[in-house]
Amino acid sequence: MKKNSLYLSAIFLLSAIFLIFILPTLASASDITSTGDWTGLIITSGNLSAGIGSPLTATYESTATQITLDITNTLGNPYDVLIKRTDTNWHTAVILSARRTDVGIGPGTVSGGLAYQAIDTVDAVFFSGTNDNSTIHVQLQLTDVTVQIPPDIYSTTITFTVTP
Amino acid sequence: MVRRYLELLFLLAMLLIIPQSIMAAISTTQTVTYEIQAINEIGVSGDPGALIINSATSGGAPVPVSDNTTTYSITTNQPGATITGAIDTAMPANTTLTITLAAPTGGTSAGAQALSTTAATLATCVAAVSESGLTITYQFSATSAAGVIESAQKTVTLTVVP
Repeated sequence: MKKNSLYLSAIFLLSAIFLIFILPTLASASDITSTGDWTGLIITSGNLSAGIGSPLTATYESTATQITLDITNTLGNPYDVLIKRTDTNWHTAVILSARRTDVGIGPGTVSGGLAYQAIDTVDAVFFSGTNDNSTIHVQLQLTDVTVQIPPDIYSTTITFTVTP
Repeated sequence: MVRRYLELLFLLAMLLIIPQSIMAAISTTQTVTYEIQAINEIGVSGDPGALIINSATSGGAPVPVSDNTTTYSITTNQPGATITGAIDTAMPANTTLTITLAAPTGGTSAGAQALSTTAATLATCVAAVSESGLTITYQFSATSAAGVIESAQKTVTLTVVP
């Protein structure tokens, strides 16, 4: 009898944990997936802004559809997409920025993020939306490139996070 | 009893595994990589005028002649780069062609350097620089022993050495 009571208590406790802590999270978990690295930019003497003796062209842009984002499983709820970067080898004088170039495809609405914003090393709101949308395009930009930046290969990872 | 423990363990395992599989992909990443290659470019505005020695001080050596009508431009992204200069063939005996490069901003000039077929350091770029309109001064001098020398051309090559 006592053992049966312990067993039922354990079942109740595990069920309570599921209902209180896990189920709400499952219900509100939007998903985000992406494609599109930007890795082909090579800056050479051909990028001098006006021939020998002139500085480097300071600004470089990716294609307008460089990165594609899909927002799913929102269950019609609003969300924010956060953006940040994690550097592997980066020169802090160079600024990496991102902007959204379209609203994608789907029943959802998307707002914000149409102007270039610098990508920091901590999360910042990039754009917001409600309901699912796919194929939301993002364009990237490098600025403040000068001859003061030593020759090297520079790399960083952009993280997009969707939050309810 | 054993069956009930196994049931509890199974339930606990499902509580740990299922949420992870359903909650995947709230973040996604993309990589950005760019390369900056070494850039060491130098150019000149043109050729100096003809350097003709045709006078001498009384009882003295022929009077050297100079030209500072040309300039050079430089872009380098490698601090410490030097600019060297050389001519394609040796000067006639008893004559000297010197060159002086104005220092790029933040750099140093080696002053007047005699040009030969061996590259000589003319200036040093302490920092990365992009600059134009830097004066080049040529001077042609000769001793009396040089005699009369027919007109000839030399090709001066300036090189940025990282």
